[in-house]
Amino acid sequence: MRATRSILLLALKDVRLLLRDRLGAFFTFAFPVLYALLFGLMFSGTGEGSGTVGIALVDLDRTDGSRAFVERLADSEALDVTLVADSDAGRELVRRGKLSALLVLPEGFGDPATTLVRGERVRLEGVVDPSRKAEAAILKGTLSGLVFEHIGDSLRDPDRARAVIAESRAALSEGAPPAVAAAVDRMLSGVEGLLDEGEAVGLGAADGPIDLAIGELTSGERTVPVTAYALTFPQGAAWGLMACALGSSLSLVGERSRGTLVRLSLAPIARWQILAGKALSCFVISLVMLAVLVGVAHLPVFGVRAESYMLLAVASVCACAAFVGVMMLVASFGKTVAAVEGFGRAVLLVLALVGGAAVPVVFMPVWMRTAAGVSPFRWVIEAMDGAIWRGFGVQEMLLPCGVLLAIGLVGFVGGSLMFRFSRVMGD
Amino acid sequence: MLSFRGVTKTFGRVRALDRLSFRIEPGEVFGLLGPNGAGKTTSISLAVGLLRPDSGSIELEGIGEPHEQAAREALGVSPQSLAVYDDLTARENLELFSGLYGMTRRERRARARELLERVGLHDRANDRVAGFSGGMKRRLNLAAALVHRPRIVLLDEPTAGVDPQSRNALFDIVRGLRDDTTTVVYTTHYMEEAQRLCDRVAIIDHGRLLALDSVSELISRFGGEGERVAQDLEPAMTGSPGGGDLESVFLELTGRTLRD
Repeated sequence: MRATRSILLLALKDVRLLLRDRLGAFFTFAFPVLYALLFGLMFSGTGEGSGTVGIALVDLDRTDGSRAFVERLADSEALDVTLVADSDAGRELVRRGKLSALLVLPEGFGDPATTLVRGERVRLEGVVDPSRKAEAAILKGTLSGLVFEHIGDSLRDPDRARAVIAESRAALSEGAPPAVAAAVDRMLSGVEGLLDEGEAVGLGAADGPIDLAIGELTSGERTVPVTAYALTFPQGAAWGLMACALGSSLSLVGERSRGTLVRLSLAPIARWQILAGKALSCFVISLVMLAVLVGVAHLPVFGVRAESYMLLAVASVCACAAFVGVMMLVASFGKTVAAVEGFGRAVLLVLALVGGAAVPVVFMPVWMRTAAGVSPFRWVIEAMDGAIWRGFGVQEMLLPCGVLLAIGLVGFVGGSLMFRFSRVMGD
Repeated sequence: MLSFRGVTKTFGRVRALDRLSFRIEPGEVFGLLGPNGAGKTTSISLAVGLLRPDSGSIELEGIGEPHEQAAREALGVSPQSLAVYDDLTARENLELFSGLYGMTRRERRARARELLERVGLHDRANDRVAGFSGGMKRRLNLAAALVHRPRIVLLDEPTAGVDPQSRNALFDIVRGLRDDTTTVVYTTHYMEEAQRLCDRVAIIDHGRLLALDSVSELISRFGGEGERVAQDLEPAMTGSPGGGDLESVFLELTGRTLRD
């Protein structure tokens, strides 16, 4: 009874101290919400210009065909096109980081449809900012799609298609080897035949080659759609847990530096009770932080709803337990507040990044996805994702929650054994 | 009340205490004096159970060894570092520490009020310690050592860095403890403090006991007619019986070599 009361008193003291430290309270309770909000806005595509790749575009061909393609690029929702006079102007914008890439339609670009039917490749030139590889990849995919869309539109219009075939035949007669010209001519005749038959059976001009129907993954009896915030709030929770754990670690080491740990050690309570008090305060603060985060996520503006609140509660408890262990381990590595703070920030930041607290694990290289298994952040996010929107059942929650509890237990026991209490007054 | 019997303690190759023996009587104010590195802090750390001796024994008579639970109930410690929470109020600090000794909420409140009155902080009870002066923090640090009414109180340089008013107030508190028959172990660098407050004084150096007696006996035995060295202390503290003083004794026994 007395032991329990001592632990509660010590935990209450830490909670009180945190609430009186405005900066500490901000990073514990407000920062995770801001993180989720910021990344949610980024991932949700809300706002002007979000999700687009900015490119500088130079049309050196200046033909009807190239101008039509420029218009198609400008109309694309995936691109933010800035027309520039020449390549140098475009390169300068990329060099200064204003745009992600420069795209040049070279002389002879012409009409992509004609080029393709002639049996040649559509040629585009350009440069990309090397620091924006992801956007470069998106640009390549977008351009391929737009080129084929442009060609498709041209060939679905029978009159335009016949004109393209005529232009191609004329080009073939000007210099292609006779055997090639004969083969392409046979192919073009076949295409003309298809065009005639298509008109006869009434194929619509708008019909494309692919009929793609992609919907978002849903699970269970979910009635509320998964918003971007449902993905980012678990990440915000992970950052909040990091702040709680680091704050409690520093608090413990700070007590040793200030001398209050000596006073606590001299009271008729066991050392494990002192550490248990710190662990309890870390656990409670973490849990309150998660509750605040879930509460904010429920606001209409975020619209996050959990698939299972019971499992979300279980995931939250396991996550808090894991970070109590992390707190104890971090506190045991180092003698001074500065040393523990430096060590803690470095290690936890790496674990957070590897564990998907900033960039989702799925975007990482395979080796890093494997390495993420050692990060408590990865399991926190998986457990919370599972409860909030992945629709995990109890069995599926066993692994992430089990790993989190194991991290908490091993971390707390190991950290407690390694933690160095003051042995000398003033130590 | 507290006995050191042949206590030796080493840290690596450094022998901090070397067969140190003395006995502190119940109800006395016992001064533990020595230059830097003499072994005072090690002695205090052993006395409160933070350290265990390599050889020899320490006992709180009738209670047990210092690390035992009963000994912790009987000991109160005012460390040299200000071991209080800056972001708690004075009252909250005292209530927290008294709670660790098993007091009920009502007892904690009453004891905190009583102690804050005793150390002259009753009008600042609900202010955060962060806003206190050095002297106020020292007084609160001492009050925190007294929350559980200990039978023996160890004060490790309790007047370090405080103004004359607070120092005087701390002296009054120590005298009050003696009047309550509380045993006090007092370490300090200020010989005048020991001369004014202590019933007996032990002078240690290099972990060994050099002398142990009442101040007047030490002065008469070790040339108390020597010149004063420290001239920067307040006039109220420079008076000494018989013309000699403890500082002369201290320098006579420990030498004048700097101990930085």
